[in-house]
Amino acid sequence: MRNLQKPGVIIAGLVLLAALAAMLVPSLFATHDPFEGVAADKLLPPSESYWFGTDHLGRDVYSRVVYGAYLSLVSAGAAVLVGVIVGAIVGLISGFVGGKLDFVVMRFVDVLIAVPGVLLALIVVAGLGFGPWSVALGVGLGAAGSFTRIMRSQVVRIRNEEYVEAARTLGVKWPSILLEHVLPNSAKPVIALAALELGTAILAVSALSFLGFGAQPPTPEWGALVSSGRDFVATAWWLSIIPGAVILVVVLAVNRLARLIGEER
Amino acid sequence: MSSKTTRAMRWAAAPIGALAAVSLLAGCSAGIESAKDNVIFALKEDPTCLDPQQTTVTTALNVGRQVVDSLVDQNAETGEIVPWLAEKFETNSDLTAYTFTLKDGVTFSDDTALTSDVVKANLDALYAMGASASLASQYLAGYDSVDVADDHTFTVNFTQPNAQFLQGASTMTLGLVSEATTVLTPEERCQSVIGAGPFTYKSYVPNDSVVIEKRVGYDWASSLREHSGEALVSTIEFPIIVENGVRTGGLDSGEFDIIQDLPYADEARFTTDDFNIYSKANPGIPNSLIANTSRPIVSDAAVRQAMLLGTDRGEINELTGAASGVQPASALTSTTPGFASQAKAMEYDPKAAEALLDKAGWTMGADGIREKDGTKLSVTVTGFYAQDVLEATAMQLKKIGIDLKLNMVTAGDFFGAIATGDYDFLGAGLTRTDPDALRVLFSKDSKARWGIVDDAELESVLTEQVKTADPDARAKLVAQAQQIVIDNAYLIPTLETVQLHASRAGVEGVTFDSAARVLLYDVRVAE
Amino acid sequence: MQRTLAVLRYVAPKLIQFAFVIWATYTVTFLLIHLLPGDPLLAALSVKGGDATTTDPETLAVLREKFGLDGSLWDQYLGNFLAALRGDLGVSIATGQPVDAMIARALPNTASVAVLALIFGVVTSVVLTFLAFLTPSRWVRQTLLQIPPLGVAIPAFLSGLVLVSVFSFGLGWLPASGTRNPAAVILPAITLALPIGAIFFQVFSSAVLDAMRSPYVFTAVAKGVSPRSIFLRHVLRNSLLPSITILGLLIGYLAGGTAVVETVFSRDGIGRLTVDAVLARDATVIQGVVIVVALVYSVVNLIVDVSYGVIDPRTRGALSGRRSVGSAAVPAVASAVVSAPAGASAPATETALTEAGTES
Repeated sequence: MRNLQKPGVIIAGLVLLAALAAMLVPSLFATHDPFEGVAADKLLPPSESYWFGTDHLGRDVYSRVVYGAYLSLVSAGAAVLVGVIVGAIVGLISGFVGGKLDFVVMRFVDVLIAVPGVLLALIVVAGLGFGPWSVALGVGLGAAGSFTRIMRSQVVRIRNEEYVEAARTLGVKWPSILLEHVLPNSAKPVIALAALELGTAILAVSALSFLGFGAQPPTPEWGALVSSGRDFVATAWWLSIIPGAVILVVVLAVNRLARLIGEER
Repeated sequence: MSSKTTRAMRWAAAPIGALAAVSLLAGCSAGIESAKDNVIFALKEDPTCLDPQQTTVTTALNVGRQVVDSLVDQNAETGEIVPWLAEKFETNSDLTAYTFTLKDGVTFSDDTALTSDVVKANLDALYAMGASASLASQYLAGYDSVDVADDHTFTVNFTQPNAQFLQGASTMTLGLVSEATTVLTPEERCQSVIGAGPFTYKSYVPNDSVVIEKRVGYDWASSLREHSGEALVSTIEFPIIVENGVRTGGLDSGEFDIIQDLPYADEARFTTDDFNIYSKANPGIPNSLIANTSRPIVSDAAVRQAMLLGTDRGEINELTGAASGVQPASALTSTTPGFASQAKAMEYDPKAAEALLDKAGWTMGADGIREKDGTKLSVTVTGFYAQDVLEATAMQLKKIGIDLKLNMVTAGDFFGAIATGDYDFLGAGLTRTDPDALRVLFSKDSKARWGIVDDAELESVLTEQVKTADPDARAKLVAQAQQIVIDNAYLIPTLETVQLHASRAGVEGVTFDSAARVLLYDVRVAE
Repeated sequence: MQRTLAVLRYVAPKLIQFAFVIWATYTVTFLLIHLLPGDPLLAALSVKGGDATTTDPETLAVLREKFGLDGSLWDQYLGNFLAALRGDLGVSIATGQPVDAMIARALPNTASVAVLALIFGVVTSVVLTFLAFLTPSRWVRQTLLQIPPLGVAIPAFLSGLVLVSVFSFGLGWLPASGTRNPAAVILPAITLALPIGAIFFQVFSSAVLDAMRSPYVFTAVAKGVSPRSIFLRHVLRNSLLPSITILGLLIGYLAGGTAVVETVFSRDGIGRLTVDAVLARDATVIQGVVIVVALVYSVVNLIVDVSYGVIDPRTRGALSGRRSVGSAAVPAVASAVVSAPAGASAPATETALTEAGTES
């Protein structure tokens, strides 16, 4: 509770709440139709009626950023989910079974970590075709390596704990040991890592959509908004700088809260 | 033999070369010279293949133009074909044989002479390349053989009338390379070619830059150029700057002398006295939605016509076009020979468009998209550039209840879609200096058949015009073809593309050929 | 003799692991490219000329052979892998050039940006830490410590766009693009240095914190040694060493970041090569880039790992024992931190240490 008194945490929480709300009910926050432009109002700087200005087709940038929250955050979330699920399953099995299987699996995890995440995501995108979901899958696979390591180390630690040993000698079956002891205990570090990974995933997903591997236009997506605005950096800076700043603020907020989760452990 | 003589003469002339050059410049060109010996011209993309005969990449054609010369040249204003490497040319009455007489003393940069045999080797090799030289294969449609009469006289024969060969012969696509280049594989030729142009390739680092240097001893420029003799600058550097903002910023800060493809958005800030803007309307087919009428919804003529009437080309031009651009008024752009305005038939009229859709049974749904028998009025356009034009079109069509979905892909996937016919509409234009572009686009026999239509009348008009030598009769057929295409809305024009290039104010002598490709032979910097 | 043996026993498994990682990276990439739906050759051809479907089977067969895409999957794998061992990475499907030549051309451009970014990042974080630990003002310290999380959260495309707008086009101090002017390397390097420096800062500053708590610092303070010389003479040396272990990890981060930076600044390099290859579905180039990046990453890690083990007596003592098989503590720290570049040095190091603890 003491955390709530820190101003940084409160601001971060509010930013994240706003981003989540924009993701879930964008129509509540948007002031204009994100797809409809007013030709006469093209390339207007930020003003009272257009908070973030308008783009080259006269569309409201603020509303496009609001509607863009959905794809940007959902695909980043999906990426982390992929990482958690793949990492948790592989780490759980590997750590639990141990021995040769563990050794081999962990060496392949070394590989996942040796290939930079963006590169791995690009390979997946090259194979599966462009689009936000292949981007999410690619970014997720890139994160899976770290999750596997964390999960495995927790499993190895816990399976050697006295109470688990005790349960085993009492004849409790492996699945229930896994479910009752190992999973709940390893959940915390995995969640802490997931929170940290979310910020990284938002950055990675928007970087890939900036490079043009994301959603089809005119669907708004944060990275793509920055990308389509960069031709106008000299004439209409708000087109790319404001959506870019929004990404920065959201990632900062996510990271701040992630740090909080880490500190609470 | 002749090459040896020229070479010997040049060597003999060397001691007084400098003097001769000065007097040549002073005498022939009224004192045209450059204050700067190196010009930096920022390109918008990697040329990927330096062989102008094979490539279809605009940038590569622009660079290649400086390195190869052509048999004839075309006056960009009048369209008139004038001599270049061929001092004389004539054609037979049914356009199946073209006879050329070559200029004396022309050599390639490997010091071999230009002879009839070399031209034959060029055309034979080019025809054999087939699909990998797709532009050339259109100019050489029906190519049969070259009959060599003597070292300087030859005849190009076709099995069928070919009205566009002479114009094709003025392009860099049919620009001539040395015999040594013709025997290389297509991949090897992409790395470098040896031409007879005013510049030669010095280096090419993919994704980084191309450098060309002036050909010493060049003296066979076309009469359309400002000066004669050697080029005015020693080297031209082409850094490859994909990022639009970096290109315009670099021009602004003086890092570049000339930039290719100035974005329309930046046009206004470069209209000051410190810069020159070169704006050239692309001839051919304007940027359009090109229909594949074998698709269920697209096959409905009412839908296509409603799209034609529901597109506000004036607004698109204002939003996404150049300041000097005009809205398209036919299936050909207004600068294409044979253009016949269809402005009446395609005037923006959303009410009429909605009436057409209502009549055809497409009723407005709750979500603002029309539907008929449970089918949404939703079509997809596949494109790889001009995303803003397509977005603007989609915005407008949404207002009359048509959902136009964008499918932006890479250039490769775009052509892949064409190969498989997997699209509703293509969003693109086609740059050609000849109205034959319509046949290329719509004829069943065309290798670049983008518009898939089943229209016997159009087919016969299009095949007829290419065989017609009489200009007036051909113009009539071309006008008829445009009318059929627009009346049936086989394509929905959106924007007449204007190519914008820009340079610092001191840069002079940047000129363009009839297809808006740049010529740098006269380029110089006045300080 | 004893010592040499201990070192050897420490180094040998790492070499084996190094070789394994490279082999496995090659294999995993190969499988990803070839098992995902779609024929790499047809995909690349359609990108190139648009007539893949009309290319006749004989030509296709010739092309398949040329690009090492003929025969069964196993034949392709074996043939290409053996060629790669000889340093032959095949021919690009899209450009027809040898892949090793393409990479050799692009690598120096990327390396110069990356090395400069590393220098910028490391030097800045050392200076920042130095200032933060020497300042008497708590407020200044807190502010200084707030900067790094910003560096890790800023998207490279945003910082790149801002830097290029301000310093190239606004002030005209530095060129924006290309490789013609050596100064053009500075802005991209700064862009990449932001996240790199931030990650390094987290590890470095927590190491400094540890060192400050150590008995010898306590003794030095008691003796009246000035804070500045304590930092420079004792703390810096003792905290730089563990921080260097994340070098390999930073390289991985740099390799990923170059794709965006090279696009924003229109530079030739590995990142753009990769993006272009993905756009063109150029399987041979993608494979080549991945293997080269993994090689660089692993070599750096191996050097860091081995030298760290050899230099630091504690590690050597601990690891020359019988339980040293498998991955060592050092890469574990590194990987746990890479997965948590986002600001929290506390949980990251904590989990890393627990993990390392269970392994050794």
